[in-house]
Amino acid sequence: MRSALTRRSWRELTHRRVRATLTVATLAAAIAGLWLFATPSLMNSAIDDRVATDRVHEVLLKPGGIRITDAELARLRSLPNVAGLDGRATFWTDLEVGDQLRRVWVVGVHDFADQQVNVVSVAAGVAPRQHNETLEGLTEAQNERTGRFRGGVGDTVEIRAADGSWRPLHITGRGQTLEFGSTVVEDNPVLYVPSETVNELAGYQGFTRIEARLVDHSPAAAASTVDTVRAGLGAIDPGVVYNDITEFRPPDEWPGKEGFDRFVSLFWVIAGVSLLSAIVLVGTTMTTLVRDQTREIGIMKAVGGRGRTIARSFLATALLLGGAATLVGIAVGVLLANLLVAYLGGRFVGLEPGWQVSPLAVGLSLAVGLGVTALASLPALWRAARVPVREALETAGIEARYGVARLDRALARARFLPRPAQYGLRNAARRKGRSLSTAALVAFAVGTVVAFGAVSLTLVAISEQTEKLEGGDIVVYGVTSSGDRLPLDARAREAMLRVDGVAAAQPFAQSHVAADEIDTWAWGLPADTIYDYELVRGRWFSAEEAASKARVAVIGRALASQTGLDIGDTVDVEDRTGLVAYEVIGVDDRMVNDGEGLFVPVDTLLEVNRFDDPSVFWVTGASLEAAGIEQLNGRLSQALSSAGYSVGTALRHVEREAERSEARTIVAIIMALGLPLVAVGMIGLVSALTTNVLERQREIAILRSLGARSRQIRRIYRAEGLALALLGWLAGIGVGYVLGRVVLHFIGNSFHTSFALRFPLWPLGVALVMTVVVALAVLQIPLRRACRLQPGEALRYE
Amino acid sequence: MRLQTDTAPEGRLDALVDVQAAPLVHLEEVWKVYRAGRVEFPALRGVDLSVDQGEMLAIVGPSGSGKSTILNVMTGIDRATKGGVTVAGRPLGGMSENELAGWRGATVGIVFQFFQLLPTLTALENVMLPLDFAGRGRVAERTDLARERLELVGLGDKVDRFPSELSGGEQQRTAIARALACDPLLLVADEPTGNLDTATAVETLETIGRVNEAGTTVVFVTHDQAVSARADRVVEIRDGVVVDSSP
Repeated sequence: MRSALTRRSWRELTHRRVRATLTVATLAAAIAGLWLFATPSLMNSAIDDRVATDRVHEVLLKPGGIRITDAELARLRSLPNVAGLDGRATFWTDLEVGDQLRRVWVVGVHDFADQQVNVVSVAAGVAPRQHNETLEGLTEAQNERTGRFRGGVGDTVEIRAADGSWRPLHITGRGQTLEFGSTVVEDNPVLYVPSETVNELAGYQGFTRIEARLVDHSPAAAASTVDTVRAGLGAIDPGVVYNDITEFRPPDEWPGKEGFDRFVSLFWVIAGVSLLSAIVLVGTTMTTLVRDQTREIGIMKAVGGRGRTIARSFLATALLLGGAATLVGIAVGVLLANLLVAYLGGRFVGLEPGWQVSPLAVGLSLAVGLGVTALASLPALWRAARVPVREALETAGIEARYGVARLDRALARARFLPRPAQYGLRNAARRKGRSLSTAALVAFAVGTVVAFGAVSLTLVAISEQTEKLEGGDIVVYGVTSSGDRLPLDARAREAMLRVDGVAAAQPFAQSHVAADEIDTWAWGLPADTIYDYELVRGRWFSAEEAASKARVAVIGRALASQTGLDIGDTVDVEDRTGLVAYEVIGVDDRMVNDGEGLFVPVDTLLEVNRFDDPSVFWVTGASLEAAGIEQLNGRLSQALSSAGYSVGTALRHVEREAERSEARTIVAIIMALGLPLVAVGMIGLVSALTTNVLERQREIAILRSLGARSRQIRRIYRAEGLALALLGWLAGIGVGYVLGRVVLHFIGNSFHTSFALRFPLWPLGVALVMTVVVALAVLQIPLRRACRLQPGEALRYE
Repeated sequence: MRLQTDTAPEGRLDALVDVQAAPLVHLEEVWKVYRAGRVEFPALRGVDLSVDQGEMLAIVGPSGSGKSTILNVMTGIDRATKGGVTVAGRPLGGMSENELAGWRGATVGIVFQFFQLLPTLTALENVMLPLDFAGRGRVAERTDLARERLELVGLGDKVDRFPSELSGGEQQRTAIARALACDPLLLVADEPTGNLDTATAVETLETIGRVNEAGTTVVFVTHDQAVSARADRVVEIRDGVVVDSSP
């Protein structure tokens, strides 16, 4: 048998169904928002699983095509501290997609049945087998997800071999592995084929990548193992050269982590604000709930109920509501967090994670759903328990002391406003605590929209500024079939300049380096470069320094900030040939290579890399039209090919568009991250405005009795809703500015630099329209219902 | 004390013309059944009642007898489940809620038992409210009219007070001033002295008496014999049925 008090607690859920449903929905929204906390850990957990499943490499060496027999491979695999080792051949070429050509990375797999590192698993279809006549391959699962290449199992595609012939490739299935899946996300489509197929297409033999996993991951052990492996490769081919520096992957790193980490800071900020919103929302909801029942508390006290007993009964109701909301909130939160992780996984890493539940988020949900709900009810219960019985019996949940506060008097003097606006404002001031809480929720939501809009615009501006930096309209690069650089000498430059429509052709060089142990790129540029640098301090190198191949460097501001390097210091740069010291002469403000770029005279870079000629040119066209540039590109390729140079080209306007698209995606992600918070704020507004109307049906009935038409009643309540929404919006501008600064500070930190926030007006307009529309839309249903009610019924309504 | 306004509403003029001979309020075989889930409760069971223009009628009866329901039905606050309700020549049954609200604003003034003043409005604004709803004249004219009504009930010096700053008697007088704002044909009051001390109750009844003397028809509900004695006629209701009607 349950006591009457317990029954009351239960029946409270069904007695006022609309209110109970609204309360549960409001609390559930707040709890679901907390699941943003779970996203980074779910993402890390999913990736850790994939790193383990795919056996992602810890060391990567890039020799220039080394032939290794199975026996030699077995010997390399048995070297000390080597947990697994594979050789891999790759080939950059063109893929015919419809009437377009697309650069594609053809990745070789030595033996699909025996893979030790960066395991390519078959997600659909079957693994390819080498045939005498027909080439077979797998398409990377991420190709389709990213839209890079939508070919499926059973398709036959044409790819260009090194000899210029087009070869059909039959797709036997869909493969996936983290290492190359993340490449797809950032760059080009990938196809997996047997190593022999790569050799056949590319016209070289052996491997261009040696990938290894280690037993001991410590830096010293890793470096020692690399030396041992290099020695082993040297024993196989004494003339082996390396085209790139050795890549070490620490155990907690994964491909795409850097990009994702920049978003993690956003998650924490949003989750923090979300938690704050949740607490405010839960507090407001429970305070309203208890205050509305002051009369019942009075009745219970009148029949002998003691404060503690009554409080227990109301707490039980609060916990029942909180419990129901926690269940709903967790269900919605799990769904949202997993959808977000799936999206971000696909976006940053090329990952398709399975469903997961975060114990942290479950704990937090329970703490807020039950703990905060109970705690939030206590102040209101305490106040209600102290109200004298008579006063409690007479109350209808409406503040009876209006007019005492200064604000009340001040509002009474605002007679210049239209009458409904005056009434609406005063009604909003009637329950100041609740109105402020509602406005705070709106402010959080508006602040989120405004802040994220500002941050997005700032990032887009930085991205647009960066994309303009690289010079020229067409990038021309000499490339061998194995993907190695091909020098483009003076004759090649002359051939380029002879092409009709070419205004200028400027050489530059690039080298993958570690500058003071930071993985980045060195750019070899002329003294009069068309790169649009902007120096924070110091200077650009002079023509004399460029001519004398001086070891001087201008470094990006993020690199300077991370390393503490400044003008006059020496930066140690490790490239494929060893360690080179450069004197820092300037710091560049641009964000090339995320502000970690290193700029040296082009001849200096060629010298330290032991190259005679550059292999890349920025070509500027006479025409600025995209169509003209594309035609020029065709003529340029043709001319260089005729002159005997194997070149690839990239159109800068296409790259710029791709970067813009990337920026748009980032904006979309940032805005999407703010959505749960906006939803919590809007649900708070919905709940407050709806409750406001529902609990004042009696008042509406009185207005009806005095002759008010529904139109007039709507105007009064709309004015009240709008007053709250506008107050929230105004406060939201301030919240948005501060939040924007905080978010950008975190993002700047992740780039090891700082950005100035752009705070444009349009997000304020968007937020204003959104808030007003929501407020007006929300009021429609309860107001229509209240106006349809006969005044007599409403006067009896509690 | 008939209120003189330059902008008397059209409906009011029509009503005045139509009701010269007929009773102002006419209830014919009125039933009101309240439903709460599966339970039905008949509050009125075939009530026949007429109130003449200029009459002061008291409705008495025990608690739950249906007194307040009669007031609600004759003001259109509640709809009769069965039977006809005609006030100032207009049958209320066919009117929509919105039409009823407009009609009420122009024709009826209501004084509630617990005053039901809006806490966020000053005394003056509370009285102006029905004038706002009816859209009578300019704001300045409404302000003057409301001030006049408050002076009439002796609250000319408290026009800017909020309800929380008024005593119970003052709140009730404000409620009466508000009920009179639109110069109604019919003033109804539900237990107008129920929440007042004796002296204030007397004062309130005198105010209502003056309103009636000025030509406004008054119907009020009370369970106090001393109060009902001031009426021209007393109707007793018991279990939803009129059991006695005595002058």
